[in-house]
Amino acid sequence: MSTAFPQEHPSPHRNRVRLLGLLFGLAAGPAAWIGQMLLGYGLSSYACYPKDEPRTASPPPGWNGEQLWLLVINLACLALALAGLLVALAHWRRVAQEKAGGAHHMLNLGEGRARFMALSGMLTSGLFAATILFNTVNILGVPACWSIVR
Amino acid sequence: MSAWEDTRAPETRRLGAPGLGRELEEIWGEKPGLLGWISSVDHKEIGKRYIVTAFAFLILGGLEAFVMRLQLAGPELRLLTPEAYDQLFTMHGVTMIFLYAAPILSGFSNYLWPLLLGSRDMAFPRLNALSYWIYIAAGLFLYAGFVVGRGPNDGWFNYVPYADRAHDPGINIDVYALGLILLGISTTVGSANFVVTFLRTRCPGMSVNRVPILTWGTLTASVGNLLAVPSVSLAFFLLWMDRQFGTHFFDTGQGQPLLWQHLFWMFGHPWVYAIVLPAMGMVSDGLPTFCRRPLVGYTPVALATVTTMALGFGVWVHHMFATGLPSLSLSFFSAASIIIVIPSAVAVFAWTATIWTGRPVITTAFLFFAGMIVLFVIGGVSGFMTASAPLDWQLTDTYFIVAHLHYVLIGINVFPVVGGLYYWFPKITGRMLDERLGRWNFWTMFLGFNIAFLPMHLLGVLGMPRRIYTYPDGMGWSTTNLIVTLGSALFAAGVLLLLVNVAVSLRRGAKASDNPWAAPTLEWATTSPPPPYNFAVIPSVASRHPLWEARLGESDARSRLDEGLLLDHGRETIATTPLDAEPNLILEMPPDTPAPFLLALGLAIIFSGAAGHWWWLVGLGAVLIIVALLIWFWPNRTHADEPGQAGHV
Repeated sequence: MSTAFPQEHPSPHRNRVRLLGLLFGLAAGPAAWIGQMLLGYGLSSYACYPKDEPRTASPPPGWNGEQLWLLVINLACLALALAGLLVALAHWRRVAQEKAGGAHHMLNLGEGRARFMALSGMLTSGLFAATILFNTVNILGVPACWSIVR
Repeated sequence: MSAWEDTRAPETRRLGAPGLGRELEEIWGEKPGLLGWISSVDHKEIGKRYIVTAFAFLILGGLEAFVMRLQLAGPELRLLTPEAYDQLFTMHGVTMIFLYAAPILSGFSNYLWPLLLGSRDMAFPRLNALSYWIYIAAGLFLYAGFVVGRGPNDGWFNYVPYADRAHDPGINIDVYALGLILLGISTTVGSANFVVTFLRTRCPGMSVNRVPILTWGTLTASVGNLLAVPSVSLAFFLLWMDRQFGTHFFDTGQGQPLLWQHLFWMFGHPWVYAIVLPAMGMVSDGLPTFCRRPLVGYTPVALATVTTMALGFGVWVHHMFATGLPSLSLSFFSAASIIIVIPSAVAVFAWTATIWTGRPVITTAFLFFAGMIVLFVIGGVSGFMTASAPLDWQLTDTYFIVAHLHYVLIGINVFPVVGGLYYWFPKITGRMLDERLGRWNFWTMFLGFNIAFLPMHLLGVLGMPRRIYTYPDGMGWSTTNLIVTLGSALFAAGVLLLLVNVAVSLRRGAKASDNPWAAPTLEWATTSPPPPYNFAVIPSVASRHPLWEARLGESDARSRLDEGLLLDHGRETIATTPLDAEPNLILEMPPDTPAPFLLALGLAIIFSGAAGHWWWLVGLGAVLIIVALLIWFWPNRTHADEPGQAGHV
C-alpha cells in the first residue's frame, strides 16, 4: 500500500529482533514486582495475623521460616526483573542504529519503533528491579509484626 | 466498527480535488432535530457534551465547597447542620472525583483522539455515545438523592461500618452504591473504546513511538480503569447486598470491615492516576508548542506515564497505614509510594527542560501549564512525605491531607484542563479565547488556589481534623481558616472569569485559523472547527511532529497530509497494525442511532427500580434495554448489499 504509507518504515530494523523478546523486556520487571509485592504482603501479613487475631508471641512462631521464604521470593523476582533488563539490553544492541542518532537522540525523539521498545524495556526493568531491591532491604530491616494499633 | 473480508483497493486522492468533501459531509453529517442530536455518535459532538457536562459538575462541586468554606470561616458557625455538612462534603468529593475529574478528560480525549491520530472517529462510536449517556444518567441518579436530602453522607470513600445499615439506615448510601456501579459501566465501555482506538485506528506511519503523550496518558488511564473499576463496582455491590439483603461481607460481626478499604483503595489509588495522567499528557503536548521546540525526553516521558500507572497499582495500602496492619506489610507499599516519585519527577524535569531550552511564548495556556508544574511539585512533595508510614500516622485525617489531595487534583487536573481549554478552544469552536481576560483568569485562580490550600498544610500540622463541620474557638485555627475561605472566594472568582471568557469569546472572539498556535500535531492540520469527517483524506505521517518537519529538519522524511486514502464508500476509516501502524483493513463505521441513549435510559430505570425495590420498574428497564439492543444490532444492509465496498488494504 505504497501510496498510503510514508517513505520509510517506522521500524526498519524490526526483523532483527523478536517481538516476544521486546515484550519480555517490557513486562518482566513489572510482573516480577507485582509477584513480589503480592506474595510478600500476603506472607508477611500471615506471619503476624494467621487468623483474625494477631499473634502474641514474640518472635512469632514460624516467622523465621517465612522470612526465609520472603527473601527467596524477593531474590527470584529480582532475578526475573534483571533478566528483563538483560534481554532488553541485548535487543537494544541489535537495533540501536535503527534510525539516526544514538541513545540520547532516541531518548529525546523516540524515532525507531523497535529501539523505542528495547530502550523502554531497559528503563522499565531497571526501575522495577530497584523497587524490588528496596523491598528486599525492608525484609531485613523492618520489624515483622510491630503495629501502630496495640 | 466492522471489517469486510472483500478485497478492495481504496482510492487515494489529493486535497483540493473538485467535489471532495461534499460527499463526505453528506455521509458523516449529523441529522437535524432532537432525534438527530440524541442519535449522534460523532466523537467531536460526544467530546463537547462530556466537556460541558463535566464543567457543569465542576461548578456544582465548587458551590458545595464554597458553602463548606463559609461554614468553616470562623469558629462555632451554624450555617449548616452536621447532617447537611456530611452530605455536602461527600457530594463535593463524589462530584469532583467521579463526575468532573475523569469525565472532563474523557471529553478532551474523545474530542481530540481521532484528530490527533489522523482517523475519522473512535473505534466504537456507538459505545462512545453509550459511555456519555450512562455518565450523565449516573450523575443525575446521584444528585437525585442529594436534592431530596438523601444524598451520600459517609465521605467519598464510604468506610464501613459507618456506611452499613445499622449506622446509616437511610437510602443515602444505597444511592451512592448503585450510582457508582452505574458510573462504572460508563467508565468501562469508554476505556475499552480508547484501548481499541489506540491499537487499531492510528493513521498510517503513526507507530507507537510517534503518538502524542496525551494518547499515552489516556491509554494508560483506560487500561488502569479496566483493571481497577471492577474492584469498586464489586465493593459497592457487596455493600448494597449487606444493606438490603442481610449478607455479611463487611459487617463487624461475621464480615471483614477492612476488606472494604482494600477493595475501595485497590480502585481508588489507580483512579487518582487515571485522573491526572491524561492531564499531564495535555501539558506534555501543549507546552512544547509555546516553547517552540519538541518536548525534551519524549521516550522517558511516555514511559514514565505507563510506569506511574503500573506502580499506582501497588500503593493502595498507603491509605490504610493507620489501620493496624503489620509494619513489614506496610513497608512494601511505603516503598512503592516512594519509588513512584521517580517517574513523576521525570515528567517534571522534562517540562522544565523544555521551557528552559525553548523560546517560551507566554500565552494564557502556557501560564496554566507552567502553573501546573509548580502545583505538581508542591503536591508531589507532600505526597512523598505521607508515603512514609510514621509521618502518615501523624498527618492522616488532618487538613494536611486535604491540602495534599487538592494540590494534586486541582493542580494536576484543573489547571491543565483550563490550559487545554485555552489551547484547543480555537480548534473546537473556531474562535480564540480572549488573552487579556485569560491572564486575569490565570492569576486569580493561581493566587486564589494557593491562598486557599497552602495554609491547609499548617492547619493539618496544628491538628485540625478533616470533615469536622465546625470547631471551637481558641484552637489556633480561626485566622488560618478565614484566610482559606478568602482564598477559595478568590479562586471561585477566577473560575467565574473563565466562564465569562468562554461566553464572550463564543460570540465575539477572534476567528481562529486552522493552526493559530503554529502547533506540530495532526489536529491542527484540519479546519477549525473540523468537518464531521475530520480529514478529507487520511494523512500518513513520518515523524512525531508532522507540521514541524520542515522547521525541525530532524530527517528527510516528510509526512503526507495533502494526499491519502479517500474512503468515501460510506462511513469508513482505515485500520492499521498495533505497533507500526501499517494499513491493513478498511473499517466500516456505524451510522447514527438512538440505541445508546435508549440503552442508558433502560439502565437508569433499572438502577432506580433497584434503589426503591420497585421490581416492576426493573422489569420495564430490562424491556427497554432489549429494544435498544435490537436497534443497536439490527443489520445495516446498505453495505452488505454492495459487495466489495470495503475490505483489506
